[in-house]
Amino acid sequence: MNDNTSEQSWDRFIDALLKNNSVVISEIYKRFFPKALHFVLQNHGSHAQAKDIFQESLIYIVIGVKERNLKINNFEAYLFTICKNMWRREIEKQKKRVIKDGLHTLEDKETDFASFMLEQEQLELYQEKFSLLSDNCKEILSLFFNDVPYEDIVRELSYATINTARQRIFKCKSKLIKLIKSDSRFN
Amino acid sequence: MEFDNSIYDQIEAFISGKMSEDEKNLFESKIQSDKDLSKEVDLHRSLKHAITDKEWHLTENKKDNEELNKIKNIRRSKKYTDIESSIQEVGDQYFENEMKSKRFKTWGYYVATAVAIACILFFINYYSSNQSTNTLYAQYSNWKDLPSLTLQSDNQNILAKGERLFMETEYSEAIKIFSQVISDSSVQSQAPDPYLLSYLGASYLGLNDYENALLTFDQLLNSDTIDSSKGYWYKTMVYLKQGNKQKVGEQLKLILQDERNFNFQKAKELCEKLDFDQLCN
Repeated sequence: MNDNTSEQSWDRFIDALLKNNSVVISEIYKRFFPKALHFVLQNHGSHAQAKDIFQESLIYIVIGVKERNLKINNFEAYLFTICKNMWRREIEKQKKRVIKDGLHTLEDKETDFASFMLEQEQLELYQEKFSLLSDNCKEILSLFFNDVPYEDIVRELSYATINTARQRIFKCKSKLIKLIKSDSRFN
Repeated sequence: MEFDNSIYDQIEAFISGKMSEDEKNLFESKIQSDKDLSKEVDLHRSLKHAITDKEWHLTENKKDNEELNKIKNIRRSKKYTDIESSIQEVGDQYFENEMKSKRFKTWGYYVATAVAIACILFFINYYSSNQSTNTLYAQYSNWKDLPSLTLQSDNQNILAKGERLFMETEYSEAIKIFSQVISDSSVQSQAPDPYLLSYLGASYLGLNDYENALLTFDQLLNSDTIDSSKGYWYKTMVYLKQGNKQKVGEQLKLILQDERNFNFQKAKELCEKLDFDQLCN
């Protein structure tokens, strides 16, 4: 997935985190924290929460690369994705708490981290397999997953009937699920 | 395990909440007794979130999940808690510096304002004589010296645009922008920013829309901020421009009640120039 040049640039940051190079770590904060902060604030979070998410995301990347065979093309983009997803998960947890779901409350930090990591890894697996589908499948599944009504899908992609569109969706979805299930990373 | 089209339809209906209460209950009990089906539903739900990038799907991890425990132990290991500490240490420094530089910016901005006011005072002293309200307005209104908006908020671009339009005397366009930002902030039940109100009122005044200018500055007066007393001064400017000497007097009287009010000294001078002798002392 990586060419050598981009590997070097993210390696510098990972290296700094592993070797406690405070100059480069401080550069990471300066360059990347404001964007994460902006996202969290825009989505009903606080500065303190943004800080936690950011720090946990950095740990995520180090552990991912060192222990979980994670490959990154672009440090900045990947860090931001992890921050975003961690915060999305946090929001989802808050929602669950409101509707008194005992399952996800009161988890310790490490369990939370590990659960997120497993979910994030599965998510990346799904996205990777999705990208392998034909353009037509990607297009129709995107509409379908975004809850676009069948009538609109038929019109937009010029299908003859709702039924043909339905069949196409079923086929594409089955293909995707098959790809996912046949991967050893799927659990 | 393979599932057919009709199961997929049911899963889809279940996930998107299109089942009736009875169907839903039936399907839920099916999920409970069928592990494969339960996994399949979970997968469909996760897929939707993975592709649409919207919400997050929490999977139900069992306590004895091997992978989960493996990651937990890695996260707890000394190697990574040490890394965590160093990340936090550098972070604490970074956040402290951020705070300092923010304070410095605010401080610098106050100094700049003070200097600007001092210059204006000097200018005014130099040219004082008894003048008409019109020339006094020209002399005392210093809208160009309104503090810049772009230091203060996240919506920098839009505010910078509004500020620029105001400087270019495109008042109608500026009003649109400032009103929008103010109504956005009131949606989030935030009090409107006093500087924004100053710009908005000044823009109305630029169009000689005295009524709206006065309404806006009243809002500023009611804003319960350290800047609220600016409202008196700005209203003085409105009446001055309008040539309403009596109303000018009323506003000046309000300013002169408290030394801490914005432009107290300037109000005193203006008062003398307009020959409101009784009022001024």
